[in-house]
Amino acid sequence: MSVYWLCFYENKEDDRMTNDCFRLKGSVMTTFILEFSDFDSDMFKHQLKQKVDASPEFFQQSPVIIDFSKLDLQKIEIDYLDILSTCREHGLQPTAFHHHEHLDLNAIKNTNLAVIKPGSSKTEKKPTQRSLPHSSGTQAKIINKPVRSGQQIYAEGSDLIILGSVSGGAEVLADGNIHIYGSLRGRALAGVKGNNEARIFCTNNEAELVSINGHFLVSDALETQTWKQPAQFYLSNEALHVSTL
Amino acid sequence: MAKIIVVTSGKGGVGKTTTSAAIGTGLALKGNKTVIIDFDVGLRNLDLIMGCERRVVYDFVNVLNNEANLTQTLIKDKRVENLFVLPASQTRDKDALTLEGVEKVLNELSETFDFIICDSPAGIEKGAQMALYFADEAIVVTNPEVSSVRDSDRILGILQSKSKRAEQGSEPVKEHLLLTRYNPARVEEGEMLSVTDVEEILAIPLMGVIPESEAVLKASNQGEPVIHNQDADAGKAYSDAVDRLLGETVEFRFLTAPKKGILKRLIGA
Repeated sequence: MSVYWLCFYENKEDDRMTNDCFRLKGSVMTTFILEFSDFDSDMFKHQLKQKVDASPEFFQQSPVIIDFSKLDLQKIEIDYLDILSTCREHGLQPTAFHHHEHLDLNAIKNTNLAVIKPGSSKTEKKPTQRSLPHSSGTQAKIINKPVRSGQQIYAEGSDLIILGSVSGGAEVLADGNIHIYGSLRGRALAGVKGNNEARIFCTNNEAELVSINGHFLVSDALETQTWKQPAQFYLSNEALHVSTL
Repeated sequence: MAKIIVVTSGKGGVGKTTTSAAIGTGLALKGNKTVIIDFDVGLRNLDLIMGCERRVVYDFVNVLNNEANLTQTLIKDKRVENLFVLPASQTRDKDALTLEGVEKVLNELSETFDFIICDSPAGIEKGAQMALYFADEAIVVTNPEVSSVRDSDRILGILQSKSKRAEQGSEPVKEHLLLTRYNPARVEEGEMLSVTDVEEILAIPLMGVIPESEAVLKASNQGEPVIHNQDADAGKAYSDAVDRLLGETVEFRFLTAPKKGILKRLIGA
């Protein structure tokens, strides 16, 4: 299950614009959510032990978010600190509580954990969302002419489609995917706000630099594969890959 | 209403002033009343190429500052009817140019001329932007060499974003590619970019290819635009370019190296 997560990132890429030693960026990460469907302190302790004993390695030091959204907190009395110590006993690392209307905020304060309000990805996944996870229904930005040296084009919150070439010294950026129906001779950066699933496509790869969510390759590395051929760029196992189209 | 054509390139030394002089002269030879304006304030060159440096009394900046009127300032060409030069100031810099001032001068010239050729300074700063701001058409002068091509690409971006036509969202500036210093033999050797390479990168219509020629340097030094020398390939190529600018379809010449005869091969010429 995915949640949105704010984290401190080291500078992986050239941050020419700022001298900051860090940046704040949104990212999607996988974490456990401990979702209660019923609450009974003893039963919880017993069942959690069973789960963890089944595969202890798997749960070691895993961050976990505690979710009471299926419970009616007005009727059930919960000992937050007790839940946390049970989790920690079994090697889990509770990091936050899932938002709930009737959370006892005073009790939460004593735990020093955060309360987070994940996006819509939490409960039911609509099939349409699944098939178009990153275009998120927004209109792609379409550029009808070549992108010239020195120009910069950014598609905020959407895909970027360029009908023409991207010249050397030009830069195109998008939060989503980038499609170039022409030669890519400049720089293309996709998924700039932390989208690992973004891809870059071009009909002729002569790129200076390509980057997906901060993972980048420069032309020295690119010239060995798919050079002057139709190509796509994508992330897999935290590494940027190139393949012919 | 005159047609305003800027001759620009981004990079220096590629042949903007030579081209302005040749194209301006060519348009006048075809019977169009033409004025060539030197926008390179501070580095006056056009008058030398046009051979009228000894007749400069007032200049562009004097007109902008209302210190002289256009009739006093325009220099009439001695060789061609209908051709005039508006020289740049040697003693001032680009800050002497203002959009309002330039617009006023262009409007006044527009009333009587058919073509106004703006000879742009190198670079992409104020001087170059002033020269291209009011343009209806642009001749982008490029050498078959990577840095020149990139700078031309950059200036095309500026034409599409910072010209008056771009700012007002009217019909975009019509762009023409003019390739100068083209040496077909070196292209065949792979030492120089080919016409196709440059066209592919810049993606604008080709208006002319001027072969590298000793005639060009000679013409500059003598102050006689190279288009007058119709014995030279460069002169002929500029005439073709003028015809294309006026909308005619002319076949491209001088794109391939002349075949060497057996005798020349033997003596290694």
